[in-house]
Amino acid sequence: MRKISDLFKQELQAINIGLVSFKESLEDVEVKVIQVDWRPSAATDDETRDALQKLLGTK
Amino acid sequence: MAIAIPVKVISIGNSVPRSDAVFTIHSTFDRVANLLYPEGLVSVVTEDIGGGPNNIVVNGFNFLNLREAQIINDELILNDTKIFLSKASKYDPTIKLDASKKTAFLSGLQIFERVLIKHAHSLSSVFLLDNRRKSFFITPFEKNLRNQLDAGVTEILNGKLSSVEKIKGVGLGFTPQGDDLISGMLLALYVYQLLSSYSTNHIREEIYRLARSKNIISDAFLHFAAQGEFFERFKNLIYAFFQDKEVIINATMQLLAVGETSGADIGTGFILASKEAFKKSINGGVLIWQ
Amino acid sequence: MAVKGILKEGEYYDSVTLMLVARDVLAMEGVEDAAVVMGTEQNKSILETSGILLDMFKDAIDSDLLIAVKAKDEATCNAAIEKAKELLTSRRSKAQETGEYMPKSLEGAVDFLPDANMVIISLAGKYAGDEAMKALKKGLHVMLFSDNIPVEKEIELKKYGKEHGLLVMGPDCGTAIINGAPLCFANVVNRGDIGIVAASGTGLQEVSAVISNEGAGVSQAIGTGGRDVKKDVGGIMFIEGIKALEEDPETKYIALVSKPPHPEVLEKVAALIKIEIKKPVVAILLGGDPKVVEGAGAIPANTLEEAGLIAASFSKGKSMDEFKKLLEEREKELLNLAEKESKNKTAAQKFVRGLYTGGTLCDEAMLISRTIIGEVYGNAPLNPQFKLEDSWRSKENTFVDLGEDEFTVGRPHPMIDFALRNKKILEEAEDKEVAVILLDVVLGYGSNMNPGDELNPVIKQAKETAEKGGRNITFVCTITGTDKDPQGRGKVKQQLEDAGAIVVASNAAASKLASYIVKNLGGAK
Repeated sequence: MRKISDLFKQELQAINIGLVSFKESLEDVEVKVIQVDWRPSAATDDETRDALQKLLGTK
Repeated sequence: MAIAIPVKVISIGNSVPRSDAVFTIHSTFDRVANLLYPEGLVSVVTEDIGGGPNNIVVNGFNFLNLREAQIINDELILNDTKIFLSKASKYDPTIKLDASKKTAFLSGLQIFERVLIKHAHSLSSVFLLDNRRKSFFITPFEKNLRNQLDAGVTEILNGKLSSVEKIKGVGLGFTPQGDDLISGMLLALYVYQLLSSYSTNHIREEIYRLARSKNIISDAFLHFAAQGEFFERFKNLIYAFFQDKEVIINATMQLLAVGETSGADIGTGFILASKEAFKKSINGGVLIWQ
Repeated sequence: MAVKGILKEGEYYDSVTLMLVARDVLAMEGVEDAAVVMGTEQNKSILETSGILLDMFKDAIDSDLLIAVKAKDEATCNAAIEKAKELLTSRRSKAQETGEYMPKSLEGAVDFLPDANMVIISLAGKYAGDEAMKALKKGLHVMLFSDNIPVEKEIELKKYGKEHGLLVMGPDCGTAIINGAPLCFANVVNRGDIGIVAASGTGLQEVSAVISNEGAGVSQAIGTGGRDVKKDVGGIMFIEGIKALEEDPETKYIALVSKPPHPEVLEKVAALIKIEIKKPVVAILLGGDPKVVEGAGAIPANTLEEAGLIAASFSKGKSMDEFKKLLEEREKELLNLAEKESKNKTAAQKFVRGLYTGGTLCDEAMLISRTIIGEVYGNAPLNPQFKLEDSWRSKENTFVDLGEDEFTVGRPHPMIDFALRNKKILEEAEDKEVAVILLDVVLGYGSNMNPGDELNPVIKQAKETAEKGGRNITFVCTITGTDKDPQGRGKVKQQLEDAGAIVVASNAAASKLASYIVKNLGGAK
């Protein structure tokens, strides 16, 4: 079974979802990192979700 | 350390030319670049958009930077990047359904409808499935748009095919909602044909004829839908109907995922037309549009 | 009522974008109706029915974008159209900002980086939890910077992580150091043999920086998020983190950093240390009762600095006695310095104002000063009776945490944006009763990149203001960070000293120095 401590033996390679500055600081210290161009789906934008919850009473 | 990301072709649609196509760039988005050539439209898309009859699924390329595109001798050229197409898997847009599984299909459809009503964007056509959603349309323009779609769709479902003209081109955005509703209806009619003994070829041809538009993108979608050729996300959804509820929910969310109401609109057209077709045939009647 | 519009050729947007633009325009005062649509025949007819079809739209074709606005007067229409144009441009340029390719999903990213083992998530809370679960299911460790994640979700994630041997750091985990790499708001510290598990972000930063500045180093620093050690989550990751450090051959010593955990969690941690952990453990439970961990065989520290110093002493092969001697020497220095700084004050000057950007540092400062000068006022005081009526107005001895929500609404965190604190420094300098101003400066990735440049002129100005009134104000500063940090501790220290501030080795030292001065001046409770 995998253990958390196995991570400490590996080369850290990261995926960053969100603030780009976190990716940049890892690049700065030579860590392999890839940024995800994440965006909320049309299914769950704030406005719709709130409105739907009110309307359909699913809150 | 920055990662060098190679450009990869994941899959290629059956309708994409494999040689001698020099494209003009119609439009570019984050996830899609629409390319024109004399015979039609090819879309280069990201993996989350997925395969389609005229899609090339490409990873690792920023479409917003696209200036030139060609396909020559089975090689896709995007700006200075060349990728051989021979290694890419071929996307199969056809769908195979077991006619004995009508009941499973209908219960899957029901779950799909519920998820759609719960999660689709407020101004999508899903108000046609749930009246309560009509209240999202506020301004005179929005209300008129809603009413036009409502009236047109009701008439089509009642057998008045000519009302296709009433909803085609109606709506915001790149592919108007009305066109997506029609695409959904065409796909439903094709699925109905697979699951029943009725041929819907004529009706689909007629609807497509009425719906044809100057919008090249919409026209391509309508064309493939009329042929019974599916885009990957919708094909996955149909197959999900025969599986667990969780799978259907996931497939629906995938359909809704990318910043557009298209998925919800096509889904709405699909649900309405499927229900109507099966209702009529179950009652022992003939198909509504015959 | 006026109707106006514009036509843009060959511009394409998806439907959701157009809806959002129309809705934003509608929200403007005086706008009655707005449509942003492609110029199809049918859309034109709907515009006509709605009374907003302009003549210029009559020849529009499918690929034209039409913007029509109906509003109370022409000026409003024009403003609305400008707004729509602006919004559309911003949607475009946002997408075009970066020339490089980015995968659109976690799946896509894994495809390009198949050996990825850590996912850092800083999305809005409502999305972050789902994304974290996705990452865990792919066998990836997770650092959740995001907050506002329901506690049920946190428990679900951490249980899954525990069962599958995966780290779940956070939610609300601001800092971690994994395999030498600083994640999010972390300092660049020496690598070494001290492993840290922390339920407090700035606490972790302070301890790791002290360790590094003492010449020792950090193997791993695992952040758990503050809620991990509360009753509901039950310390799931705090405990898994300790176990992982016990298994890690690079880690020889373990440091635990937390605000007081829930008693049940503390019992579990103590039992773990007693039974399973063979490596020496030093623990700082800010304000907590050290007896439980002490009973389990761990060494309790009184301050973050002490925790760092003890761990560093071990690492460098020094004994506890040597460490205690070091501490005594430092104490003596602080007392001497306090004596000197107490001499040049007026009779009215007897209070300290602590203006903190780091929440845990502010807590620690209050805990330390309480033992020297009694309770202090604040926006988040130790004793609720000392809560300021108005957080913006200090009183007697006051320590404020400028990172609290009441100060951060609508602006970046004060570790990044110094404007608010700069203003407060100048205000405090006007107060005739103020003898000491205490400041923390947190370095590292994510923080303000030029803290020295920003603070130097403000401290100078504050000192000048006071001097005009015949007063001398002592500035006591603590810098959480190292020379390896992008800002460079040494450089920042020099800049602050050039402005006339006293920079000491740690937050504990700064709090003590400030408190000793106040005590000398008769400002203690």
